[in-house]
Amino acid sequence: MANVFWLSCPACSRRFYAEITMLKIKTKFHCPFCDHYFEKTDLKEEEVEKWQKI
Amino acid sequence: MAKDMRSFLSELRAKKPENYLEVEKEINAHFETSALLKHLEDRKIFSTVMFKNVLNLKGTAGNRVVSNLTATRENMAISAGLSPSQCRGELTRKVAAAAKNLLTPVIVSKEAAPVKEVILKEEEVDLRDLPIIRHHEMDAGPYLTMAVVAKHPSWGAAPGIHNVSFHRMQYRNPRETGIHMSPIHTWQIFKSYEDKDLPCPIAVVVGHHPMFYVSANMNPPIDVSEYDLAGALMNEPLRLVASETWGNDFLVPADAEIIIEGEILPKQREPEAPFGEWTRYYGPQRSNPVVKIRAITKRHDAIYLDNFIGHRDMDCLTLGWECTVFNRVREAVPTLIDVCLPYSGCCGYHAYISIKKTVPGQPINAALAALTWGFLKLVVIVDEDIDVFDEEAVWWAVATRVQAGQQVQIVKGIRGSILDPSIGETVEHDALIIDATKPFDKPFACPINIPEEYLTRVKLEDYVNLKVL
Repeated sequence: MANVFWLSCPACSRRFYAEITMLKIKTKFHCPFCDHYFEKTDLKEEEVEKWQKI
Repeated sequence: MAKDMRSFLSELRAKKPENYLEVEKEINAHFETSALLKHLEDRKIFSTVMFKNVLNLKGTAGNRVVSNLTATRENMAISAGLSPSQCRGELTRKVAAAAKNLLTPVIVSKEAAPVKEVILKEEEVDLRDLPIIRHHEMDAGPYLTMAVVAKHPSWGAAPGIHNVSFHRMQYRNPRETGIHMSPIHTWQIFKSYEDKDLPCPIAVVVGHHPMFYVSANMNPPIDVSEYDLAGALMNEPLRLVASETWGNDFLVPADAEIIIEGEILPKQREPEAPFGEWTRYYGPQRSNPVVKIRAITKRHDAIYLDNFIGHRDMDCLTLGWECTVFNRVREAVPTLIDVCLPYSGCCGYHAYISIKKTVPGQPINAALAALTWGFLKLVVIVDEDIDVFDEEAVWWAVATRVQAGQQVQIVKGIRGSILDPSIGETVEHDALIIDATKPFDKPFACPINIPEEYLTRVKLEDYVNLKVL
């Protein structure tokens, strides 16, 4: 399994993980808990900070 | 009557009724069937379960679902034509041998195909009519978990080489799913279409004989049709029928419960997963291809088959992979005895292999042949006196016959499994080989034993009340 990173859904705040290569491409994310689709830009500031460290 | 899931269920009920359970009460496909199976698992009950009243994705009751079809080796032995007690080495050896006798399928008319009793095309298709199971908490949605047929546009003569393998497919909307493919045969087939900007035809086979699914988990050479292999394992030619979407250019199993025909769209990716995988971890969300569903054909009273992935319902995986390793090792070491891919190693990462060593070096030949299969991370080679299906015995051999400095090796950088949580961004992994065989050319200690004469003479029932045991 490729390296993963955790992220929080901006709608329901629950956490799940995704393959790290999703950071390098233009894609949406899909929350498995509330079915919300969102962009990287929808994430909370602290999540973006975590990504920048990866 | 052709072999199919129903013929197997009848056989199972006749030969091993305790391995079959029916649930009459209404139950939801949304986590509820999984919760019930988990309760059974916690009690070490791995019966095949026929849920008789499952709610589909529209909330309509009355759908039948089978789970745990392949959750015991006893079931697999029955499906291979053996007695339930012949479920260890006899089973692997029989299926591995059968795989060499490929049988060409027969093509039947639509009228003779049970799976064509109901035909739904294009706008009539609605995946919500099916009781597609949502298994684990972090799963991104309900998932189809059954085998997928694909066909390369140019491999082989007509009717071509049909490839069958397992791929998770996430429900997205009534006519669309996501799909995940490891970079093996189906992926190669998809890429051959995508490179020409064409959709790749696929068919999901929901509900067939267990040996059909074992063939989907074997890895024959790419020029072998897994339809021929399925016939070999079922010991009768697989019956095929023209698909609704592509006609005779793409054939589907006539005796399935349900066939879902679709196209993997080129150059389109959407988020797919997380999904609880056979590794017992969630596979991460990925950007994966999308499937447009074109048709569903089924029996009037179709039984939906779900694989309770990540649990014991993996013996169709284990057996297919085990037989693949068995045949590869036997080519390298003809004195191979048995191969076991234990559940503790996710049925795919560890292999215990017993051989009758006739020349030095054979254990390493056996291990290297096993590693050509691809997923293995640990191979333990033992002598013929060790039962590879008895994990304690295997590790006793490691404890007492191995000096690590001489009998342990690491092979680095071979292709591994994309679903292994410990692997990096590539699919390369390292594999550990343990040669736990006794030295070939010098005396070795003898295992303890009780004289056979006394074991025969001293009968347990003469000394102990067996009812209290």
